[in-house]
Amino acid sequence: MLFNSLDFALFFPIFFILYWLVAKKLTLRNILILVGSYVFYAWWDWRFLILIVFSSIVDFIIGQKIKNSDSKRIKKRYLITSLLTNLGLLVYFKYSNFFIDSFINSFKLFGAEFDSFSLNIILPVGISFYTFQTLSYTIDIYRGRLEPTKNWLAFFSFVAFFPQLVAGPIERASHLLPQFFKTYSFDYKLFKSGILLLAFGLFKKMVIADRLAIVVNQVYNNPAEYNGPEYIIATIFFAFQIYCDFSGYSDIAIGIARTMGFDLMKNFDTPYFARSITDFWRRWHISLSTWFRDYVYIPLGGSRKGEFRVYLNLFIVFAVSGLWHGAAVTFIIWGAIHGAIIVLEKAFGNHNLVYSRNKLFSAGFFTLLTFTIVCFAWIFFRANSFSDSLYIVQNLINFDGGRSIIELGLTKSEFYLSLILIVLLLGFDLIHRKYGALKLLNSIPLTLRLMTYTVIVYSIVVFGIYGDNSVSEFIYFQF
Amino acid sequence: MKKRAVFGFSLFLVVGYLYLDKAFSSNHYYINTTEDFVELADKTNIDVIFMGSSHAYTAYNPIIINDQCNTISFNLGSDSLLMSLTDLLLTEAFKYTNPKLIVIEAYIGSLFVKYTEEVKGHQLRALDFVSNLSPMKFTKTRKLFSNDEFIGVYSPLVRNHASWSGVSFTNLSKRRVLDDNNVFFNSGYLGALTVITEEVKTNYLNFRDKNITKDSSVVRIKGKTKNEIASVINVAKNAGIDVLVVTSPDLRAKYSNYFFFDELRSVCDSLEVNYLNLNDHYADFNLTTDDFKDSNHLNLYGGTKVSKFLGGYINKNYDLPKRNLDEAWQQSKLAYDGFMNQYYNTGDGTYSLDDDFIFLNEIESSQLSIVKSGNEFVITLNLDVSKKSKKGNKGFAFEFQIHPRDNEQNLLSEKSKSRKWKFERGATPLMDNQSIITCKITSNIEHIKEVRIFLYKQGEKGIKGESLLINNVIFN
Repeated sequence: MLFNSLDFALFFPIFFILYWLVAKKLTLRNILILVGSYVFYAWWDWRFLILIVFSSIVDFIIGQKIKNSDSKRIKKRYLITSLLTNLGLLVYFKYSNFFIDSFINSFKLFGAEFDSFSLNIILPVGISFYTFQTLSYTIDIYRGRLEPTKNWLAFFSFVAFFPQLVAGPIERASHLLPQFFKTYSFDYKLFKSGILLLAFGLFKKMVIADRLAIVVNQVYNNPAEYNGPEYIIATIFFAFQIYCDFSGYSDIAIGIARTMGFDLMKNFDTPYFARSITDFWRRWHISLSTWFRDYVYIPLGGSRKGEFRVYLNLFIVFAVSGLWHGAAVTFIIWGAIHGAIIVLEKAFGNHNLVYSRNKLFSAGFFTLLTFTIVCFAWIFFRANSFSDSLYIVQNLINFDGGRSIIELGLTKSEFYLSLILIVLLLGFDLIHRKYGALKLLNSIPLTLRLMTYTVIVYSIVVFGIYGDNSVSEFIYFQF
Repeated sequence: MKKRAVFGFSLFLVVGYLYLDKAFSSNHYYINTTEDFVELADKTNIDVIFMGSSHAYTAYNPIIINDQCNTISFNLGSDSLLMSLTDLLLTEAFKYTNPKLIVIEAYIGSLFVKYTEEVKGHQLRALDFVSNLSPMKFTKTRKLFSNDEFIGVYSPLVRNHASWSGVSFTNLSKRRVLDDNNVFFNSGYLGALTVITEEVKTNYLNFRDKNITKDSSVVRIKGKTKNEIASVINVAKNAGIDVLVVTSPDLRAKYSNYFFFDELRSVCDSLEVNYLNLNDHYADFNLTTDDFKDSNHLNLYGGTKVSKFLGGYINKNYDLPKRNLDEAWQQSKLAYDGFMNQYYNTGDGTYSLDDDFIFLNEIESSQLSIVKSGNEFVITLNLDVSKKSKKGNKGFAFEFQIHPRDNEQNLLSEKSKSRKWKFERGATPLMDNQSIITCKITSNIEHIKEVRIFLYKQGEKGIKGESLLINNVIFN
């Protein structure tokens, strides 16, 4: 079920009313959350439920077994079982065809010819997210940082919690799981801020991301028909599309959870104001970058094994992060670009010194430079194939020809609206970072506040891209 | 405080929604129809209502029916209106008035229809008229539209939101301004002045010949389709209202399947209502191909013939209250007289225009008159001689063109026809200091669609300066 669909618009109010009717009865409430989450997930394909239930059973049992084992060797064996099961499912459903293709292509380099074939596998929505969530539970128990739960209902609800099930934030059990053991009273302030976040998330998705997507799809699906200026426009648009799409989803997820009394972690923090790539990853998809830090970078040795290993570990983490996003070379390159820049930043200076407001370079310059690098990397992320991405990069400064804005898929007024929305978004991010949007909103007179709410609601209705059976999925659902 | 805030927000939302929903409504002509219907129903009772698709609103002219039957009637026909939605529209209409007779237009297209996007879109005109609180509207919408389309049916704002850049947020009147030169609109009737093209006409030269075909693909009216007709009829009958089912003239009738009409007749017989197939009466009202605007819709002239015939039929078969003393009827009578004068009066008269018009620098007219006397048209232009051209007017001449209505193209002179002109032409040279220009044109045409006057220079190609266009010339 998509957050931006009529189905969800009917599902959520019903769920919400039932939820607060049983909110004080913990078991009943958790049953409702679990059933609601499974209905939400099964809306795509009921067969997906088999996987999530299986993954939940495996980690619930293994969590107990690790706790009850005295031998470190047996604990490790259980951990490996969990890793193999979860990553095995992920690899099978997400990467099988990629590995088959890569295998065949690598043999072609040595002159061997194989007939290409691919497996007919459907990628279950959100598998990358809930797999990482359950893995963190088991690893934390193995590390002795978390007590396993004996309450299967709470655990299953934690794994399947519908607001963040399909695209995060990737929660840690230590933060989210305890919330399934508490009951909550309805809090108007929390409810209001949750609904505002939900509305703002929908605005970012339906008004900004889906509008920019028209230009991005037009150019990236037909790269041979365009040149440098169009690639640049489309790539900048994509930067804001993916930001609004993904952070919009996170806002909706956090907002919905908040209306239920739950707290989810922050996932974005004005990433396009970052002054370095290192800084960018402190602000972009925070739940994933911290997950990789805790469960990949640190186990690899982190910064404890010498300078070279630090660089290597960083590079590996980002390359793997790229692969996590998708089973394609383009994603690995995207990750590798980020990894390489971060290694350079680490190697060539203390960027706290370089990137702070110093005499030589203004903060604006580094913000712009970082944004440029991020956009360059987005080319690989968005291109439909490796050859497309190379073609675009090669022609990025080819300014021959030139087309009218209309040919990029939007009308003139729609195009200008897109530009205005980007400027407004950046302005909003700036104000939000400095003052806190909610705090600021609460400080203005009631009439003005009500007008703001009304404008948000009607902006979504009027300027939102919807209708004609074209409810678009969130980009991160595919990962 | 919280309650006030929630109340205030809700109020903002509702007011905002009502405003935006209105702003985003399409300015379709059916808004004119429904608004006129409500306005008329406020003033008086509407005794006869015509229902159906475009076949209904192009065929049955209420002001003619009113004149013939001394009644008050209205045409609620709407584009591609499905029989399955006609009962809904009728039920809504009964909220405003208490009719005595419902005339339902039925043809193959309104009974056996493919639910294309276009057809579904057309249903929105009628659905917009029906209150959003109607349970029947909800049921019908569920059946006809998908989940994704559902909210759009109820809200023009949701439906048309993508066209935000073309919406006027200040002008909330959604009545369409209709071009008098092309159509006549009154009481829901929309009569087109255009005539079917010669090319299409040749396909239907023998349209009067009834050619009954009974092949294996006959159109049977049964099950769901029969129930839809029965539902419409029962809505009227249950309210104690008479029903007449009619099929308007259609050039394709004999080419489609005459068996359909027999089927419809037997269904009407079984439901105990009268059925009148106007395709059986071409000779009675002297219908020609010139009475059609396309292969299946009548134009204004065809509509007049059919309405007069139908008026006679209604007079003969239904006992309607005489309303000729009502103010609404008197107004309808005035409209009828104006209509006949405008479209059927072939008498002579004068047309004058007092506006200034600049043809070219220093050549400006202050008054124009056109006098028709028999087959002679005299056009007179008064020029302002105070503004003299330094170069003089040597070589300049005025050209006068009289364009007839589409249905009078055959009345053009042989000279015009031979040169493939769609107008009569006359020209008068312009002398220096000349204050009055006249031009005499002889023609058999009776109604002018357009007069076009412009300057040209002898020996040179093209128009010099601006053209004066006068549409819809009506003689007093």
